[in-house]
Amino acid sequence: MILITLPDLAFEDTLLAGARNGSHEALRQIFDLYYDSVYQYIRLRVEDAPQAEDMASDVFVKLLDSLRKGKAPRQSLRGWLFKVARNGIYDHYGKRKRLTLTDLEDWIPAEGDEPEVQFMQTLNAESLRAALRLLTDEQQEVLILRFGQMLSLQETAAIMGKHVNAIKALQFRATNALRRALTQLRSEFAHG
Amino acid sequence: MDERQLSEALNICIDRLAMGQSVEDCLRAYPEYADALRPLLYAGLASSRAEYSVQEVRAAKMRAQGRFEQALARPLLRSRPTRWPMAVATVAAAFILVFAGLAVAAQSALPGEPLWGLKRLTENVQLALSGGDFQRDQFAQRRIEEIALLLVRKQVASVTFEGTVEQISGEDWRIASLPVRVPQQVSDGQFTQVGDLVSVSGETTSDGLLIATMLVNLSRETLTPPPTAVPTLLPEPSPSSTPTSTLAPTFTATPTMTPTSSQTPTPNPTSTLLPSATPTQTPDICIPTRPAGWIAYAIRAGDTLSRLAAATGVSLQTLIEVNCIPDASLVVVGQVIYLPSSPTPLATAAPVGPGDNNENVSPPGGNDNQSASNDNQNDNHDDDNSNDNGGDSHGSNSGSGSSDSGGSDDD
Repeated sequence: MILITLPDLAFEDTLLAGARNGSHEALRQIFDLYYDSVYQYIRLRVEDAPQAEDMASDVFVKLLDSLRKGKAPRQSLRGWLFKVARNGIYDHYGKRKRLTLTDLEDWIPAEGDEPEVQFMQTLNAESLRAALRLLTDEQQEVLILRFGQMLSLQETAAIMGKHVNAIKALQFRATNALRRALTQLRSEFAHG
Repeated sequence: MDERQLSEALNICIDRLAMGQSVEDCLRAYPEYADALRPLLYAGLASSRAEYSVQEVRAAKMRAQGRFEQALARPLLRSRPTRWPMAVATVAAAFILVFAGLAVAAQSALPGEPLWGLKRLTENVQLALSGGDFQRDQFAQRRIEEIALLLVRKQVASVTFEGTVEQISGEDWRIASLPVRVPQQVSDGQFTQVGDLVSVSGETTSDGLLIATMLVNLSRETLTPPPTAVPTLLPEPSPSSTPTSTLAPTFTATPTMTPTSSQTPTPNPTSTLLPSATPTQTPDICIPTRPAGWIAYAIRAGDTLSRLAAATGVSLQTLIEVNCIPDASLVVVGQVIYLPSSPTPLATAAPVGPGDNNENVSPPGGNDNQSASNDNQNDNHDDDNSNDNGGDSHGSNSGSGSSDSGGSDDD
């Protein structure tokens, strides 16, 4: 699943150089290129659709603001946009954390379970989102960035403000936790 | 089960998924973890299907577009004093604006078209603005990673990059770890050798090939003197040698096209769809992905994979898998692989005089190009070669694994 069309980073830098010099055309292209993935990223974290929509367009308005203040990024535009989006989400939710299942973190998977994998592949987006929301914020985030957006470990670390080793550990816990959540879902399906 | 190693393997597999491999592809590389990794990878992949519908995104985007246009309508550039003199800044800004516009168009320009040169020029402007070798290296590295992705995803695009020629086998080259098809007419007349820095423009194809349409040898570009000066570039005889006419034979070593005696077998990308139950089978497409914190390292004479593994604290198997090395005994000098850290440097033996044994004798396999490059002792790159022969003897009695015959058997 590729939400972002393969970023041509040289092209991105060219766009950014244009944007920094006030080219509307470059800015429109940036919006066009990244809106979808920024929206998905926020929306997966914010259930309220209109709210997510506002927050996504805020990201791009903030890009314009930062250009006006001379504080626009010089490189890694994609990472910058995600970081702003992430800050927006955290500003919105403040310190309030959503439901977490900390006990998921220590769980180590059993050995191979083919029906389990098959079950995962049959789930629709809605069930998957429900399962995803059982995870901690950071676990959700790392999955969205690493699997959904296919960002590199380094990019993900930069966006989340963590060391790459922390991201490695986090993505390990997150996949375990999601697997556990999906397993729960599966037993609910089986019994209900 | 070692959770840490499992976590490392998971990380590598996530990277490989991003490069277009399937879960099963990656699991074949980690048979011992396959059962544990499989549900984790599928769970992770499932999370990427949690995304919202295209319709919803499109509707949101249309509404957001209005707001964005409104925000755009306000003046963007503040007229605040800059560190540059205003006139310079204005000229520079205008310059860049023109470039930015043209560069967008230049993305699709083909060699020979008017906008072609702008591609690199634009980068140079960016580099000049953002400055620094670090930036340049990062830029180059990012570019190469992007191209590797394009190849795996079989996307068609025009690309330009710079890198060191690592292998030449007929028209199949490896430049900056990328496989590049360099047609004869493209490389013609430039006498490019392994070790040269080249700038390549080309096209990626839907077959996952990268075909060069233009190749500029940057090593030669800066070093090529006017024809009359050629003799001055030849290595001077050592002071002790009696002045004789011994230099004469070296004139015959005019650079020629590298011998094309072997066809490098390239993995056939079309066979990837065949699932296989054999756990030991190597994935059909294996693209080396640099794990976080690892470094790129060019194989030197005397290196063996097992020694490098031991020196950097990973298993031979890990090195083989991360670097997609099909045969541990077939690594060639100059080949770039990823290592967790820099191996402790080999004892640099004093350069031994150029042996005659590396002429015209090409062992079967991948070493042809290496010996080809060593033949030219009098080119401008003898730095690279100075350790080769000394390193050989060192390497032959180091290491202990069964598969460490690697590297440098030029004879």
